[in-house]
Amino acid sequence: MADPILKLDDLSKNFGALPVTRHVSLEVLPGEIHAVIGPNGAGKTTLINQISGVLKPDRGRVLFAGQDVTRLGVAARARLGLARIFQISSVVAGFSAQENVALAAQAKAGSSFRFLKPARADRAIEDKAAESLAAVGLARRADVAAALLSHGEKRALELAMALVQAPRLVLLDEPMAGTGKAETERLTELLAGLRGRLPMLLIEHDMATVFALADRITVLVEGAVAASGSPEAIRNDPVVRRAYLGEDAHA
Amino acid sequence: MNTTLLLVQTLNGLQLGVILFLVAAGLTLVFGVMDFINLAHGVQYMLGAYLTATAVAWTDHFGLGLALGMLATLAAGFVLEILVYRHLTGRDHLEQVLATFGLILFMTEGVKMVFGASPIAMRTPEILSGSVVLMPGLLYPVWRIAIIASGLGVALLLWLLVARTRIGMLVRAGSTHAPIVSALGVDIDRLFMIVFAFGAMLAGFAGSMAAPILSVEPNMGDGVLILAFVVIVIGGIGSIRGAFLAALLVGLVDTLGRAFMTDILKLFFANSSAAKAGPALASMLIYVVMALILFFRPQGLFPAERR
Amino acid sequence: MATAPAANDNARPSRLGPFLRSPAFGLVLVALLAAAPAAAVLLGQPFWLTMATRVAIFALAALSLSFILGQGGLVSFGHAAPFGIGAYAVLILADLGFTDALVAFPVAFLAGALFSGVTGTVALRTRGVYFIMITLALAQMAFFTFTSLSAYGGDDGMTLWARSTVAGQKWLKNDLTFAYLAIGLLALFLVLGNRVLASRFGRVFRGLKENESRLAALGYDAYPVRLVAYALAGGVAAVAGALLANQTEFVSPAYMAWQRSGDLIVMVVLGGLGPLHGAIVGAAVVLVVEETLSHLTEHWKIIFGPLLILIVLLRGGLIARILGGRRG
Repeated sequence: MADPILKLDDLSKNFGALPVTRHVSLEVLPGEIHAVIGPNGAGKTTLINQISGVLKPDRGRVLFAGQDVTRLGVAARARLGLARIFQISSVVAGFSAQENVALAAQAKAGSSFRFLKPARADRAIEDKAAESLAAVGLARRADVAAALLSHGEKRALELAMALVQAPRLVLLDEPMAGTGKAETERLTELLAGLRGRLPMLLIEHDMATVFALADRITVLVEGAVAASGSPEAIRNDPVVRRAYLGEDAHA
Repeated sequence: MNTTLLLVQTLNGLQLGVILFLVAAGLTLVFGVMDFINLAHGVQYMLGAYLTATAVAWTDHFGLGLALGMLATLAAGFVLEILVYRHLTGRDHLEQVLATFGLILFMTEGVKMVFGASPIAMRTPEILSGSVVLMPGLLYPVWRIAIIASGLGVALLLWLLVARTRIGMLVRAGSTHAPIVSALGVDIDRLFMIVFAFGAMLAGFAGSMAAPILSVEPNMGDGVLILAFVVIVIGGIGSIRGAFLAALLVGLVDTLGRAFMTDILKLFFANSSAAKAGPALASMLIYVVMALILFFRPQGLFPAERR
Repeated sequence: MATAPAANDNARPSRLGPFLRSPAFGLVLVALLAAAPAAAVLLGQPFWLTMATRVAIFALAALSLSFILGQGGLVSFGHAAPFGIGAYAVLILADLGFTDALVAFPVAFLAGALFSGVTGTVALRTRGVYFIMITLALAQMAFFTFTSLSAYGGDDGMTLWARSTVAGQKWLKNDLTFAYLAIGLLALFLVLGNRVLASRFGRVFRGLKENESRLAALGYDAYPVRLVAYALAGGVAAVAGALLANQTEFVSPAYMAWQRSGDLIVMVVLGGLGPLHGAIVGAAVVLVVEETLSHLTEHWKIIFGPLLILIVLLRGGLIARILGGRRG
């Protein structure tokens, strides 16, 4: 079996007296889409924050691409190839879509301490950015300020920013939150198109998306792993059905 | 550098620290509760000194004058809150900086027009003038002792108020969890008004107490304001306890530095260069201390939790 | 997208707006300013000459603040410190025998950049109100330090013997030449500043203002980028200070008083916080208003102060609206 690209090893975190992450261990294999689901308050966002480096775990290790990154900050982990799509769309609102993606591409292409040459004169970066925008279907919106893009378009823009960095893993924190039905389907299609090429850790509420995309699902309940396995196994797991899917199953 | 001088300067440092605490206390609460930067807080200190000096001269009685002065400062605090400050809460910091900067210009110039640009004097009350012998060879002005005592008294009162009363509880909660407090149905705007006006009165009290030993002049608030900023930054925004300890620290470091820096340098360098560098270094000292503390603790010594 | 509701009240379509925000308009402003000294001499109005020079100097200082404040979101309340340090660099160098501008101005730049760079290492570790207060406090440190330098006049400051020479020539004695030096430096740093903002570095620096956590997630560390920008801005402010020392032939700690930092902020905000050349407008407006009000009454601040409050309370301000640089 291939080495996992991401490995969480017995991760624990408390907020004051409240345990929010309890002995979580999980792996994302190369090419795999690994979904983490769980009821509200299960500690999904806290977990993703520990993976991306926003929060430091109290105990346990985060291994990324074979390296222990537990002590590294957000930017350092990003430079190792960890891309993130935020729960609430996070782009540079005043920049055009093109400049947002170029900004992402620039991070992987040489020093940013160049002061006099106009950034837009760098064809290699601009072309890569345009290509990435085209790949998510935003080619025609390249010159529009990010602030003026629709919710779904911002999602796609974030994805373009992630892809242009040729990351080793993408963290997706509820990418479908707040998007309409048509946009959800389009994004799901986009992500499905990346299956096998790009490993993803997906946190998502929308069960249709999760079961359409995930190769493996981990269920988080009260900060701890309640179950982990193939979508089929999770769907039929009685513990999961009771703890989490209960309402959905009867709906 | 003898022991007596060291003791005198330590007491002076303590007295400066107490004044700084009185100014910083209101400021840090306003920062903490409302995330509000008020550059014009030094104006309250200056105003307090002027109003009290005027009231004392008018009533010819210190206690009465002080009481009237405080009432007037409190009233001024409410008026400014209603006219200016309440419209600035929730705005971005830059706008608060700009508007309160404008307020300083206005108030300072206004005081200049009313009272004149030259300093006015305030008499020390009879019973509190003169000096006492603290120990053989150590003569210390009674008034400065009164400042230290009253400052410590106010600090204790403030601590009781913040730690033991409902409004204090709300202020503490408001400085760390403002949305929760307003969700509980507390009128956060009214809370702000009270905290603000009360803080203004404390600063005014500090100004009144300092008035007899300093000259009362329109720009007297500027220096104190910036020292109070240093205090708040070192102590941690929103923390009364931090403000208290940092105020004493700043008062002592600044006073002792100015008193002894040149002498200390003389131990290591030639007399003439020590005499030149001493004052410059002494005036930098508290800022260096601040920078060092911040380098290791960017949130100050006692950061309010969970910000 | 065409059906999107027209809820965007601040994006009133205007053909003028984009031009006013473009670097080209910045050059128009500089050209206008450059016409003033010549006109002043032709019309025999020496006061205009002095005024135009002052505007250029303060525009340069405000421009450097606008670079970090408007473009980078760093609300520094201590920008007068590197400004004053530039002035003292000229004075101290002249005292040491280096009176040439080719030495003094670069040294001033370096001194200002060094001060900002060193103090920035501490200040930039903090955010929000902390940053405002710390920059203020550190500038005050510089102020008190120069106040206690008795060799250079202490509190009172000191007269500069003569204006800087240029390659040994006393060209700058001529007020008209000096005015064009100031305007020329303003133009130079305006062009350079805009270039830096458009560079790879500028792209990251501008991005950090809007969304620091996004840039971190892309792999950018904010601290070194901001520190470099902060130091550069300090250097440019010091050049402005060196100019002011030369214009007035006098240097005092008052150059770095905290009120001056406030004035610079006022200029930047009145200039709209948008494109760098807004600082030229802001500086001109503040200096002209000051001048006009001070003719009305010696207590002109009693009018100017409330004016500032009103500008904030009425949001944004007129000039900002014209330049369109201020969002809601």
